[in-house]
Amino acid sequence: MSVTYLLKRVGLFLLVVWLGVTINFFLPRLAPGDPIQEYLGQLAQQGMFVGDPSAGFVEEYRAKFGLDKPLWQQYVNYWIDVSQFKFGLSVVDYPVEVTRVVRAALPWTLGLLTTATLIGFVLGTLFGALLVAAPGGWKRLLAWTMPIVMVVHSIPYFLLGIVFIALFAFTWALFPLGGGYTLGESPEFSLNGLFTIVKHAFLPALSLVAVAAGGWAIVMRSMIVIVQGEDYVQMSRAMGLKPWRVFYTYQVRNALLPQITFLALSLGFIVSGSALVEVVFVYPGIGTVLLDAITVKDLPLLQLILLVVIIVVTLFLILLDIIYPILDPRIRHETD
Amino acid sequence: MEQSSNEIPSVSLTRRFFRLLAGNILLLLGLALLGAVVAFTVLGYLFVDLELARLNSAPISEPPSWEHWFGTDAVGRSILALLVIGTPKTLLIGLLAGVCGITIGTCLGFFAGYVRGWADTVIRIISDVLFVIPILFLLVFIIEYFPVGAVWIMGIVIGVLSWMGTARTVRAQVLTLRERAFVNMARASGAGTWRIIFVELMPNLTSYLAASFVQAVSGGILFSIGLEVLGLGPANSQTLGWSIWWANDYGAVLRGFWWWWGSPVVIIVIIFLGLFMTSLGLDRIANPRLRAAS
Repeated sequence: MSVTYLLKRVGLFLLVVWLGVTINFFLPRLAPGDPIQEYLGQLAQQGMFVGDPSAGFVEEYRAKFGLDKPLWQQYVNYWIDVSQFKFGLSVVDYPVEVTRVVRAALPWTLGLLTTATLIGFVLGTLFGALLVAAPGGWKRLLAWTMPIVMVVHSIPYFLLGIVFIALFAFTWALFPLGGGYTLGESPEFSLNGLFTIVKHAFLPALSLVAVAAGGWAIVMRSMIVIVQGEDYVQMSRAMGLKPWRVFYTYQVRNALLPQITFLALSLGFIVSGSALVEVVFVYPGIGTVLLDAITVKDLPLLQLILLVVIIVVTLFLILLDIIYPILDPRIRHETD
Repeated sequence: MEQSSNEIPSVSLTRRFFRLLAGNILLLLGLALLGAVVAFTVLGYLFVDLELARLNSAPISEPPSWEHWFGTDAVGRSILALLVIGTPKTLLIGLLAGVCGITIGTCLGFFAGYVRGWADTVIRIISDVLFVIPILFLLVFIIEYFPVGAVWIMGIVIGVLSWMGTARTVRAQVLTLRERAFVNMARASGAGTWRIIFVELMPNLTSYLAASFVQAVSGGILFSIGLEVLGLGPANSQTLGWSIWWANDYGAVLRGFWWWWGSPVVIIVIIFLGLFMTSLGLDRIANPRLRAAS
């Protein structure tokens, strides 16, 4: 991998981050509606007395958030603040710093979704490989489970979540109905606390794993079948290598390559893709926070979350670019 | 299969189509499921009293009965009528999203792969930027600009924001295809760029594009339902996702109204299963090796 290639890649990475952040900055500001007004409106709707909006009260708060300045100046100020790692206060949770809001929510999401994504990947990939390679009788048994796998995979995971809540939390109260921890308690670092966390995370994780594993399995199976016909597999078979050796070193290894691409991408999307599961299970993660920030236009909070999302996804994209040629020596970067 | 190798049988297109179906159970089942969903809406529009989808036009929270097959919800609507109205809307969103996404993705992918150079870089940057920003966020604000709340706008917007995968794969395919002997041959005999793209390259990608079109439709529906479950769908439009949002909002699960959330879930699963099987079946046509295995 040449130095110019790396430099070009890093340059593109910065360009993408800059463009993404810029779009995220301007889009909500150009959309109709003002965050302060919107939040006051929401409070008023909930029966709170917010005073006369014309009394300069709104203007005062707009000035506090720097929203009274012209757009370009807000944009310049934003970058100055970001370069100093100042992200401002939340509009809705005034006066809590947005970094605190994000830091409180992020561990829940990362914990639940990383675990679920990895478990789904491992189970699904193994299952897909076994569908092709399991010995005779087992293979036929596994083939019978395919229709079930396909049906489960066809249910959107958040709907599967609703089904699971109805069955395992409502009809048979085996698991809590929602939330990340027992209501009104804060998580404690003990075996008991861990058990409570796992109990709350089990159903959301199960719905994610069940849907994802089916997808991994089906793709893995067809990748192995496609690889089976390649010349090098035929060749290694003709050379008289043991079947399991052909299977693991030639078929599985090559079939895994595209799987790893998708795994990296789905890990990158964890932060932004978690909203649905969190809403269905009332899970206290970053997805819910993002959704709230979008609906009430909590600009400082929105900007921080999206900055995190953009940097995480771009990092995973660049990581893929760097790792892939190592995993797959056939891919060499063009030298120009 | 007993035909001599040097004789190409002339079979009509329709018969070839049916022959293709007969050997492809997945495709057959998938199309049958989708057909059943379409039949459900057509028959529904013909025979179901759609006035029952209005508030308070039916009894409140009744389990399925002879009168209301799928039961009624807590605001007095017949769920059957809601589903009959919602299913075609959801399908329309998916179709529009699929058509837009695949068209844009294919054009840009071809352009990037064939022209390369600056075009490739610019398209790559645009697609990376769209890829990196959460679509959920973009959609909410774009839909706010078009407060019409129309279902078709939602479909088009989803499509316009989800062409990146197609563009990337089409580009990769074109990069490998363009150096093949038959393309060089065409170029040497003076074929223009458009001719090479449409006559030489496109036919090699049709079955692949068909499969990814079906996947794009499915992705578009998934996305729209997801947005609607979050309460962010097109206003006043009773799509399938909205009926789930209503059920969730009224606590249907915790009140034991299984028919309320269950009925839309069943229809949605049938739609996704049909699309999924269809795309697997088309995959089989695109990849002959998959066919040989089963």
